[in-house]
Amino acid sequence: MIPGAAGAQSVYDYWLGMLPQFFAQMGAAVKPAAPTNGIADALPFPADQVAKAATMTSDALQSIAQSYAPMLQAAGAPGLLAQWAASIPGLAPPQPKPVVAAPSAAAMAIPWMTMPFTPAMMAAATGNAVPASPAAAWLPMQQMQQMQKAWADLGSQLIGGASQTYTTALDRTFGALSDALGLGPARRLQASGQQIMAAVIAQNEARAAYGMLVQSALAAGLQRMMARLADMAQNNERIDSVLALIRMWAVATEEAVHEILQSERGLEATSAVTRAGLNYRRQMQGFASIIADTLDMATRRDLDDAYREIQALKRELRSMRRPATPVSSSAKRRARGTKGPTIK
Amino acid sequence: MTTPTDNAMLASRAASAIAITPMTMAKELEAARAKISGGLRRLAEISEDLAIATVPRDEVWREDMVRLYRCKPVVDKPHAVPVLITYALVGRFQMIDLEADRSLVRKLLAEGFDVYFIDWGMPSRAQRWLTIDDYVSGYLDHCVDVIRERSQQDTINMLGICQGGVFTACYAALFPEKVRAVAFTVTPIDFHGDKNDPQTGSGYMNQWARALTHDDIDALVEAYGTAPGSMVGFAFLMMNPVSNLTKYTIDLIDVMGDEAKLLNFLRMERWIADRPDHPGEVLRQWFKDLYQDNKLIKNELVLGERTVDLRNITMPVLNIYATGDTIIPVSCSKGVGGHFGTKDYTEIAVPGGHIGTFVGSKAQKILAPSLADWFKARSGP
Repeated sequence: MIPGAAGAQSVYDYWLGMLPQFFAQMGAAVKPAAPTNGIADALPFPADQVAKAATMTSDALQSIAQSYAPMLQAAGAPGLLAQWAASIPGLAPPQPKPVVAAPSAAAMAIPWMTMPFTPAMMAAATGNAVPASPAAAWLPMQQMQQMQKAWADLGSQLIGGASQTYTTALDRTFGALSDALGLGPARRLQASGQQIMAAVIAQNEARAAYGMLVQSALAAGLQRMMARLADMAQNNERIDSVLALIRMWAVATEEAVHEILQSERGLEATSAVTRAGLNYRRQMQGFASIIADTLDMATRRDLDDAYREIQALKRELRSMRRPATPVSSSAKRRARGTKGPTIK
Repeated sequence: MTTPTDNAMLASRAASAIAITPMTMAKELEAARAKISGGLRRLAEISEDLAIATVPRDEVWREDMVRLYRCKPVVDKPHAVPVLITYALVGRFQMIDLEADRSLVRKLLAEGFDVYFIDWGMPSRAQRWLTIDDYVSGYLDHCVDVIRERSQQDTINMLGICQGGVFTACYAALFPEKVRAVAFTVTPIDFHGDKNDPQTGSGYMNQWARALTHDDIDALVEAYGTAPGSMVGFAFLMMNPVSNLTKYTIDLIDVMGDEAKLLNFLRMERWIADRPDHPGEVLRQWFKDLYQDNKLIKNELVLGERTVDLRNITMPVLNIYATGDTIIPVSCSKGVGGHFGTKDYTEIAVPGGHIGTFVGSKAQKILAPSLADWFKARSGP
């Protein structure tokens, strides 16, 4: 295993996980984790990842061949383009209808496929999977609620087996007194949990806005490709390769993605997702630190403080390092037989 | 605003350019699948060591996670003035010696240079408080002193790459008495250069950083401490999301069909995967002072208690930029000679992208020979 490969694994996992969505754009159905007949498992990193990607590509090409052949036979090139356009809202040409059923809406939905920067990278960095659906995005909230309840119950146990009902009643009745009895953490956790839930909601909203932007980039990309093909037709040029057509789509889509994401609203949306992601992470850290504080465990802040002090000491040490004597002057001194100044 | 009718007409015209038949498609895709099958067999049989950066070398100094290496010279009498190569923190130094025939280091050694390079190592959480000053006035200065003493030279030649180029520029401005000549490759000096020459698909990192506030950057650093290498890796992948998907799919077909290409691809992947974590305080200063406030070119960047004044760079400067660089836009590197204190300023453009500068076949023919000629002309025999 090379250094950093564990972190890199998460990048590959995420990236290769997007390949089925990429091929779904072309109307090819590919399993998320294509079997590699054991080849990938036996290979060293990153050859194993390349083997996985290659196997998925091979499967996708087979799927494309199977689904495009009858479509081309029945409806020709218009059928092919209709299949592609079907994945982009508002772009599907009215006819002709493809003879092969288009992939499901779920397979065509690619909200995260071209999600530049922060959402994906933060998800990878934190080890969180990017939610595959809005419903999946709510899962952390449910988990948080369960965690919060478990913690409240634990808090009750710590003060002598009191029930949550008792804790709540005590809190309502005596207010600050509950802090004195050691119930403060449970209350802080409850507040923290609510902040996390609010952060999750804000993050989902930011992601949704971002997803809309990406969707519009995909539509613009396909339109751009169509325009290029139309220009080719006008110049009596023809394209006879499916792979070349896919590459043409990729280039056109990349341009559209760049244009939209580098626009003012694109940068605003990206910044909003960044802020929402950071806020969510910090709220989670706040929650964890309440637990750590209560159990008298070192928090990341404690560690950071220690590291900061160590770094300050190192700087002090560095400032005491004797600067290297200029070579020319030491050579001159040697020639004169004198010693340089003694530095203590 | 296009209407459904417009779209239908466009699709109809577009369709007439497509001459794909079921037969040609079947043949093409079968051939592609055969290439992939062959590639998978090759992958399974790979016996060659995929190790990168294998140039023979000795570790001559270390502190914390930082190492200074001296490459073993390949000529009897190397040039007296050594060259110190400083790479970025966002990737590993292996890029300068990816493989034997795509190695900047080996080319410089073959030209008779005494080559040193710094491996910044893999910073951990403990290094989150490291600042740019710690790198420049600490590690880098120590490395330079070690080389000066070992080589018995008052001044040495320095070659900075990307972020390492910025560190080198700061160093040359703060410690000009220790630098004979300095070369920058794909180095941003004017972080707002792209504002005057915006290019679609280029400089996204600059724009994204500027769209954030100082508070956002503080929040980023507080939330992460050290930016995980995987996060940095994602940042680069996401700059070109679609082409980075085709890279692992349809572009992979040709790679799988050619053993040499496959090995090159694997080595590059290996380098890409090896991303160190990035110390938070460096990140904070990099984003706020450089990306957002552009302090380097304004001579306002403060490291420790000293201000970096580019006019102190009075030694010869070589500035090499890549014409297709989308990570460091050309406009951030090119035409900055007037900001240095030197009268001996040279600029060279190499074809290709940011990383292509070091591994691209065309760039390889220009980069190392240009550096060698330039250093030789300025540091004597």
